[in-house]
Amino acid sequence: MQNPILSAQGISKRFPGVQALDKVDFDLYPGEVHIIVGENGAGKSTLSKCILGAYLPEEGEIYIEGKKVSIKSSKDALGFGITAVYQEFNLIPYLSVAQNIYFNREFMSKIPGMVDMKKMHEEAKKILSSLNVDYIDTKTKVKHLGVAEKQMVEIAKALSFKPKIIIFDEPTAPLSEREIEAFFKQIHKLKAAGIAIVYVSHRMHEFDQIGDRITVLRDGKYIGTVRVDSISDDELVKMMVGRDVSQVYKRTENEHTGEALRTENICDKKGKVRNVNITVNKGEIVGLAGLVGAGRTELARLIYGVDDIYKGNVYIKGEKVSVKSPEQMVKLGLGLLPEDRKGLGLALKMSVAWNIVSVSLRDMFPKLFINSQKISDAAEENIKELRIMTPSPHRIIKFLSGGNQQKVVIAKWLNTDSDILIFDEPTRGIDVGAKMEIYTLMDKLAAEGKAILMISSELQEVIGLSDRLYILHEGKIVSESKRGELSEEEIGLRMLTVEA
Amino acid sequence: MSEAKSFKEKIHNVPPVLWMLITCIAIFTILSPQFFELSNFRNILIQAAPLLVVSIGVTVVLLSEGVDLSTGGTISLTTVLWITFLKMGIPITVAIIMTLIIALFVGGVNGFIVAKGNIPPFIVTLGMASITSGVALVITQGYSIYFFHPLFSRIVNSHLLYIPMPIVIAGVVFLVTWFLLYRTKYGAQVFGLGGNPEALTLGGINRIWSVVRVFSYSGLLAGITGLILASRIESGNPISGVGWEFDAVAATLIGGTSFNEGRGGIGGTILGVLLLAIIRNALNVIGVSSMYQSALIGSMVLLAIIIDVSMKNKKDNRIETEV
Amino acid sequence: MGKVIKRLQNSQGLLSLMGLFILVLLSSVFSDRFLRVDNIITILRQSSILLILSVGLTGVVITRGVDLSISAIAAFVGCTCAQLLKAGVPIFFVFIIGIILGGIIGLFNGFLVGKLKLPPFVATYGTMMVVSGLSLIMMQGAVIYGLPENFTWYGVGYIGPIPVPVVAAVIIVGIFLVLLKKTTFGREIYLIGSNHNAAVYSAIPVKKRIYTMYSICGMTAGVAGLLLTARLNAAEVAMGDTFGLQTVAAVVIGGTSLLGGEGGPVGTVIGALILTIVVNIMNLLGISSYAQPVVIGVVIISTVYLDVVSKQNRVN
Repeated sequence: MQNPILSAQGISKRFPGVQALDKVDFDLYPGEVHIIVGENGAGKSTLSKCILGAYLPEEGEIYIEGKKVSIKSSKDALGFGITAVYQEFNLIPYLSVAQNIYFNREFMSKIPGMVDMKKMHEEAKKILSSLNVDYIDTKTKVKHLGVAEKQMVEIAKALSFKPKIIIFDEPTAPLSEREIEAFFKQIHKLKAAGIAIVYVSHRMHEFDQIGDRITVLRDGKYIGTVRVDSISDDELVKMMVGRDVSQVYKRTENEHTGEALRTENICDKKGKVRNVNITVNKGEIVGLAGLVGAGRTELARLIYGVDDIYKGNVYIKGEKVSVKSPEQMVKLGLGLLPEDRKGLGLALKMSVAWNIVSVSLRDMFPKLFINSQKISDAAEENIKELRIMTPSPHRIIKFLSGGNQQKVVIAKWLNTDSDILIFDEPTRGIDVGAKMEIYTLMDKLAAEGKAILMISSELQEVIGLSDRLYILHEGKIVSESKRGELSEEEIGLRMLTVEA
Repeated sequence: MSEAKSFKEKIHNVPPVLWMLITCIAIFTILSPQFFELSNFRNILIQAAPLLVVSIGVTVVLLSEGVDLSTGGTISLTTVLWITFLKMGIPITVAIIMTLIIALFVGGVNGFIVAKGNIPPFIVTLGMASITSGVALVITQGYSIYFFHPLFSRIVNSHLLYIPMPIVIAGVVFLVTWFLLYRTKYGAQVFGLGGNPEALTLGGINRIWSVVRVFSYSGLLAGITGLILASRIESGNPISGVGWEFDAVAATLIGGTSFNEGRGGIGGTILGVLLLAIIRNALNVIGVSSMYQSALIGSMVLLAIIIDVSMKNKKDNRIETEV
Repeated sequence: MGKVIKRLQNSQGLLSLMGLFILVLLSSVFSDRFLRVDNIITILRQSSILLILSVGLTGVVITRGVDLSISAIAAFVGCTCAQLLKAGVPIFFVFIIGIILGGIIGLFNGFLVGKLKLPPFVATYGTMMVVSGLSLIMMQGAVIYGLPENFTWYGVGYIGPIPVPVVAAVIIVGIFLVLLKKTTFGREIYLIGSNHNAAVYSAIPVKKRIYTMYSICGMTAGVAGLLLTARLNAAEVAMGDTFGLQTVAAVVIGGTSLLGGEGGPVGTVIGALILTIVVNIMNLLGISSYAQPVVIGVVIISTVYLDVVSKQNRVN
């Protein structure tokens, strides 16, 4: 057997509050497609970014063709023949396809300073036709291309570097079935040309078609590397999900008394949410699982009135409401804890206290004038109740850890009368201890009779906490199950829409 | 694809500014027969030429997702500096070069502060406008300064192959800019700054110098505009550039260049400049007071921006806009 | 006092206050006339209209917006009201009309920014052009002189030893202080500026708040226009021009960040005073008034630069 073209050993990378990678090993052979798989937050992207020079690992070594190297920037990576096709395209909308492929590496003509457009289009055309996508005109502006075509341009751009290693990050996410098929043909061609491919994905049904080996990561840890043809889907899910934490998810037995929230065939304008029917009862935790991009957050935004509903109805406590705005929904007793804590949940420049009262401010002081003492007191109470680690309610929230920030987001809603709460990825990026506290809190809220809809990418937690579980796939509900009705593997497979 | 559809598409692809232009010409021709005379059109073009020069620079800045509100100040300063240099007895070519270098430098400072500090360009360029027009006032103590040189009338009144010189200058500036934008890597960087600055970094480009180049170019073109203007008024006037920054941004926006993603181009700016010039001219011919003109043009610009932004908003709902 | 200092520290006004202090010291060294009571009152009077404009703008800047049209609004309101006075409309109604007029234009700005989501500087720059155009049309190039004396009192008169515009400025600053710091509206304005999206998710009626803030800013611009007209005893189209950039400068020098969510009226008071003193000392020293825009340009660029850079350093 050949020597690996790339070998990474004992890679560790820490971010504030999270060990993103913990002594991970990874190797790659020429002409191989090596898949990295794992749940969200498992460290897939972090690992590929370490290889690309976007992150500098704190520990571990990277060897290229047997030589120890240090990759500090994308420029270094290119020097070693490593390039990537990014999930978010790095194309410039109002430049032509050829200009994008050769951006800042233009072919110069004999006239100084002038780009040789003819040569550039010719070369671009050559690469595109090697990818069998001659139909893409190299003179078209990228802005006018479809998603699949844009991706082809990205691949062409990657190839123009004549790389030895290409990293793909969730490349099929934006593509349709037919486009995926064509895309896999390209992958096979690249393989045949001896290019080594790192393929980050969690679409298991694709793996047989393109992959050679799979490396599984979980919580930043290296779980193992297996050959694609030697492992069943069930076994793979087991590796990804792990076991033995079931005690963490303690649920109090309680009555589910009547309907709190129900949607009837709701759709959004973009087709990300299609005819969704869900019901959440009082005192119940309902899980909403699905892959990234399945439309979970979009559904939450529709119900909360952030985005406009295109079709369908929402019922709150049995009464039909026409959803207009978050203000209105909050008045009706709904609350949403958004997935993007820093972007959507908190005003980072402001103090803990001001963040805590941000939703309930107008209810606390209906007569316009505020009383700072009352605000401090209210915040103080929440800080004690939720055990938020902060020296004072006046601490600027930016300086708190992720887990404590998340508790502040929860505190915002505890101060309101909301009895229907949507938790969108409540434990993303926070440490295990804070996770436990949040689980306990959610259980307590449900026991108090609140209705909770929980969106999560972490299979364990969504399975462990939910009384009922919906699985969303490409905007549609594909499964509804009671607690314990489906095995974890079955749920995993349904999420990935492998036939179960 | 059927022929009919492609025709329809073609109609659809005609920029709104062209329709506006055609409509305006039609209306004004009906309202005033003098308007459609060849000599009048010639006048319009000569009047429009210096505005085109400065607007091209502003267009390049807008394509890079910036904005330059300092051009009026730079124009004033240029007229004053050039005449001052001439009065000091500096040879005219040297004076031109010195003046243009200063204009270029002013733009460069704009760009450097914007890029280095990541500061909203409107505030930087407004501040710069205050500085440059203030310097112009200080130099002249508020008065116009006069000087005469035969080159002035050559710049304003001579012809090259029957084409009036101001139009030749504007044409050359247009061609050079077109070449830079679409045929050099610096041009590609302009679109990169506007459309996806991340791609610039990944391409190993120093973003700061890219921005500096863009703003310097705008400063240089404002300087050239100032030279044409000084030749026309045969003097250096510290308030001669007032309002030009607005007309330049207006012409650019009306011409279809957008504040986001680097959409647009200098072709549309020609139409925008023409439209402004025609409206000004027609309102004069018809006898509408200049008072109404700025209100009218202001409203047009606002309308153009609203259309531009709401078209974008339609696509991605509820995005947040910033200063 | 300790509390005051702490609050200033929080609002980042301490630096500006120190700046003001040093400036006063230097000025009194440069010119012995500087610290004379009549000069101090002159400074206060000169700063009052700038201050009224800037305080309104402060609220808008806290929402992470900006309003470049306020000086044009002030001129427009001044011109309209001068004509109304000439037509014999009672002063009380003229004030009401002027303030409402400013509010309506402000609301229009709020609509452009909040509803249509135009970048604030673009929207308000456009409004500025339209409003100045309207003033031009209305005035036809004329200047209106000779307004009723009971109107000009609001510009040149005194209440006790204190000029009326100063009293007006103090009242308006007080109102803003309460509005921004002591009401739910004010806190929501800060939240919106600190994180627009989080404000949406916190069920704050963001659009309504933005409409209101721009309207209030327009109203203060209207008041400033009225007082300016009264002080000049005249109205003309260009009367607001000198304030254009100075308002933004006063706000930023006072520690209200263009990035929103921080700062407040107290800082703006200091900012407006600093600018006015700079101009005043230049006058006392006999420096050409033409050099003033240069100084103001340099001051604004350098403060914005320092503001943003220091903030970036803190984040890192």
